[in-house]
Amino acid sequence: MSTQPEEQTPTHRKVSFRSPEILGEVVLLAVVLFFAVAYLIEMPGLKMPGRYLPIITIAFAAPFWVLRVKSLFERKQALQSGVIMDLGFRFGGDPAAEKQRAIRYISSVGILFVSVWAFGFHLALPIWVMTYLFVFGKVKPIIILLIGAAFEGLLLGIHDFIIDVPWPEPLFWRAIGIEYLFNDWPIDDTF
Amino acid sequence: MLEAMVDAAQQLFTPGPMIAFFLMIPIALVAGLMPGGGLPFIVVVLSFTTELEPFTAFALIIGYMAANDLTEPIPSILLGIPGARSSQATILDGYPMAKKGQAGIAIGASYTASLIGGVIGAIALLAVLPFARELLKLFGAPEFFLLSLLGIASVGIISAGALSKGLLTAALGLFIGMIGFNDTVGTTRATFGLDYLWDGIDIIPVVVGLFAFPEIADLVISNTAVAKTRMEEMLKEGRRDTMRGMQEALRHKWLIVRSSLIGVFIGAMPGLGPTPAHWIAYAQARQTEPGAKETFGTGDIRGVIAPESANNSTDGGVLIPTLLFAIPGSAPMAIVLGALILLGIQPGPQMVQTHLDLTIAMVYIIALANIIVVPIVLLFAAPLTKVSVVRPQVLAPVVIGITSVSAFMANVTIEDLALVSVFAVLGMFMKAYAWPRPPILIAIVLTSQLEKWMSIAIQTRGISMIWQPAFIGIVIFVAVAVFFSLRVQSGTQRVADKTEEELGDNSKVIGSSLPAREPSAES
Repeated sequence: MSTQPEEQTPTHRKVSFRSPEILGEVVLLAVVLFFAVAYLIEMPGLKMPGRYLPIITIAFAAPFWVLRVKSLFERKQALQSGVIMDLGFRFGGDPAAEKQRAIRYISSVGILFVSVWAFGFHLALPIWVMTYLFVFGKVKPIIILLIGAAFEGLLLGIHDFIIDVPWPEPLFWRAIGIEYLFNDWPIDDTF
Repeated sequence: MLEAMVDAAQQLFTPGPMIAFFLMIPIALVAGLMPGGGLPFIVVVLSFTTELEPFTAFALIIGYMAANDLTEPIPSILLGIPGARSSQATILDGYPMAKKGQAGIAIGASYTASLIGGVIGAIALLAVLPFARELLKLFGAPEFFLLSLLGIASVGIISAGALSKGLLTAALGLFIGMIGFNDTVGTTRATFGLDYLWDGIDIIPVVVGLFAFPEIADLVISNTAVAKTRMEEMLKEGRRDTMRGMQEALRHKWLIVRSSLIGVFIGAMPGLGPTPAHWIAYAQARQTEPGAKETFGTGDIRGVIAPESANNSTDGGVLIPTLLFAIPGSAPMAIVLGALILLGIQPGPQMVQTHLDLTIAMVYIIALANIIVVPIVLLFAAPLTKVSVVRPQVLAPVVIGITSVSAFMANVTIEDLALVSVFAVLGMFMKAYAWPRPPILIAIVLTSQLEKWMSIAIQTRGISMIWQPAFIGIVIFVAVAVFFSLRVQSGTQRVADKTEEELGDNSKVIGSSLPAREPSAES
C-alpha cells in the first residue's frame, strides 16, 4: 500500500538533522533514555527483587538504543513500511489547513481538560461539546442541544445515579467556597 | 470439559450477561462503523468492568469486539473505504462489484463468509482447549515469566517490522509498567515523588491517550469526508440481492473453510492479527481458485469471500495466546487481558482449570455475536452505513467527551486526565514515527504478573531455570514464531503491493486514495 514515489527505491535515504524524521526519533529515544536513567538512579535504593526487571529491561534495550542513535547520527531513514507517516497520520495536499486543524484539536482538548479541572465535568463537558459542535461542527442548534443534554444525562444518570462517583472538588468551586453539589446527588439513601 | 461447557452455558445464558450482550450490540455496530474505529469506545466498557461479574463483563467486551469486527465489510464494499486495515483486500473485489450494481450480492456473500469464519474461529478455540490443558501442565512460573517477556518483545518486533524499534518500544512499555508500588517485590519505583503514581499506571488512561486521542487527531487533521451523492447511490444497490450473495458464498464453502483456517492460524501468532490473515487468504484464493488470476480485482465474489472468512475467524485465533499463555497479540487483546486482571483472574493455566467455564463462555459469545449480528447487519446495512460518513468535526467532540469521562473513572482524580494528556502526546509521536503502540499497553498489563512469575522462578529454581527443557523450548518456539511472523508480515506487504500492481488502476485508486483508518488497533 506504499505510495512512495518510484525514484525512492533504495531502502534508506539521508535526511537532515533538522528534519521531522530525526527530531521525532530524538524525542522518542529521549523518553526511553529518561526512564532508563531514572531506574538506574533509583536502583541502589531498591530492594533486591525490585532490581531484577529494571536490570533485564535496561540490558535488553541498551544495545538497540545505541544502534538507533547510531543510525540517527548517520541520518539514515528507512524507506520500507513503517516509515514516517506511513503507519501514522494521513496528510493530504493542504499543509496549512492541516496545521491549523492540528493546533485547533490540541488546544481544544487542552481547554476541555483545564475547564474540567476548574469547573468540574458536569459544567465543563457538555458546554465544551456543544461549543465545539457549534463552532467547528456546524451542526443544527437543536442537535447540539440534544447532544449536550445527552452528555449531562450520562453524567447524572450513569455516573451519579448508578455508580455514585465521588467527584473531586473543582478549582473554581473550591475558590468560591461552595461544595461541588453533584457529590450530594442523588440524595443519600434514596437507593 | 463437557461439564464446563454446560456450566458456561448456564452462567452465560442468564438475564445479566444476556441483557449486557444485547445492549452492547447496537453500540458496537455504530462504534465500529464510525470513522476512527471501535477501539476508543472499548474503554467505556473497561471503565465499568470492576462493577460487573466476570460473565457479564466478558459478554460485553468479547461481544463488543466480535460485533465491531463485523462492521468492517460495509464501508469497504459500499463506499470503497476500508473500515480497518483488515478489510483492505475486501475492497479490491467488493467495491468493483458495488460499482457494477452488485453491492447486495457482495454484502450477502461477505456476511455469510464472515458468519461461517467467525464460528470456525470459535470452534478452533474450543478445540484447542483440551490440548492446551495438557501443555500448560508442563509450565511453571519460569516458563510463564519467559513467555510474557518474550511475548512483549515479539509483539514489539513484529508490529514495528523492525528489531530495534520493536524492542525499544517493548522496553518503554516495561519501564512504564514498573512505575509504582509492586507488592510482589515489595518496592516502589519511578514515582518521581508523585503520590498519584504509587498505584502504578492504570490501563484506561493509557488506552485513551495512546490510541483514542491520536486516532481522533488523525481524523480531525485529515478531515476526510465521503461524498453523499455516491453514498446514496450505493445504499440503494446494497439492499438488493443479498440472498443471492448468501447462496453464492455457500457455493464456495471450501474456500470459506480454507480461508477461515488461515485466519485462525495467523490470528494465533502474537502480533499478526487479521491484517496479514485476510491478505494471505486473498492471495491463496487468487492462486488456487480456477480463473481467479484473470478475474480477481474486477469484482469476483471469491475475492470478497476469502478475506472476510479469514478476517472474522481470527477472533477465535487471537484469544488462544491471550487466554492460555497470557500473550495478547494486539491492543484489543491487551484490553481483554487487562479486564481479566482487573477482575482478579489470572490468565494461563487458570483459564483451562479454575475458569474453564469462562473461557468456554467466550467461545459462545463469539459464536453468538456472529449469529445475532450478521442478520442485523444484513437487514440494516444501509442505515448503518450512514454512520461511517459522520464528519470528523462532529464525531471528535463526542468521542473525546465520552473517552475523557471513562479515563477519569480509572482513579476518579483529575490526574487521570493529566496522564491521558501525557500518553496522548506520546501516542501522537509514536503514531507519526511508526513506533508500535500495542507493546506499551501489553507491557503495562503484564508487568505485575511478569514480576510475580520471575520472583517465584528465582526463588524456586534460581539461575538453573534457564537450562530447563521447557524454558529452552519456549525460547526456540518464540524465536521461530517471530521469524515466521516477520516473514508473513513482509510477505503480506509484498502480496498487497503485488496484487495492487497486477490488478492495475482499479485497485490503485482504491488503495492509495483511501488508506486504513485504524492501523494501530490490530497490529
